[in-house]
Amino acid sequence: MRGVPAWALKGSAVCLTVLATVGSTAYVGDHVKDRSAPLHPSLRPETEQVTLGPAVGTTTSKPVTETNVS
Amino acid sequence: MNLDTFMWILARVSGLSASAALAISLLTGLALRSAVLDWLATNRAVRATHEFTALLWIPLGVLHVIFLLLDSNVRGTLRLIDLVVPFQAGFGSLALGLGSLSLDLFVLVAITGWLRRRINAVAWRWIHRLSYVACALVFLHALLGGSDFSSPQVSAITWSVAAVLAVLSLARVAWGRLSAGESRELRPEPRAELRSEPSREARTRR
Repeated sequence: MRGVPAWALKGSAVCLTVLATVGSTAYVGDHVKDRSAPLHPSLRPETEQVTLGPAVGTTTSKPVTETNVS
Repeated sequence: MNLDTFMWILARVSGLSASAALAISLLTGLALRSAVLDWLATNRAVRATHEFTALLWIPLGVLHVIFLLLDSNVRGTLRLIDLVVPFQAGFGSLALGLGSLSLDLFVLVAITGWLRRRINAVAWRWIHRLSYVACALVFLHALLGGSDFSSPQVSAITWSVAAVLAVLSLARVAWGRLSAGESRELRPEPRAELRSEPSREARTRR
């Protein structure tokens, strides 16, 4: 038996690779953003913690109103 | 869809395609030494295919890296040096480091493959065996960092291919190379009418 010729094996390798490319394009196209993707920087959870504090503070500027004392 | 998202998609597609081409390359490489494709084709045809697959997985692997670098989200956190020096990246250092390490090994294997005739045969063989390690690192890189590994469709195919290749690799390590005699014994006996037919060499001699 002489077996499958080299050109047919090479063609099969190209076909399988193209098939993988087409299949992965279809899959990735349908799942553009994956929340469970571990590496994409824009999808990573924020590591900086937001510290909450008082939003209203006192000022040192001159008051614009005055209170009459009788 | 903005340019970064498009590059991110292309990086994922090229990564998955490069893995597929790499699996074919590994299978044909294993077949050369273990006669696992002896039923399908001659060793010469398998060798030609194995060498040819480098033209598939190397460009796809290079494209994977280029597309990642063209994504400004990745470029902001991944430096060029992180592609070569493993485990230095600011995020996902283990997953990215395994990818960098496999890239280094593949570059070494590819360069020594092209310089094969100028390198000592034993040294070349040991360097070429590093491609098994590099393939294992690529698998771990995909497992830890691959965006699509969480999906059952992708992970089922990838795990199946990886399992087959792992079994063949372990068989190759355990039993070594099949000799030509063992390889012939594994082939089916030629049919009687074919056996009686004179070979092409015999016909030429006449």
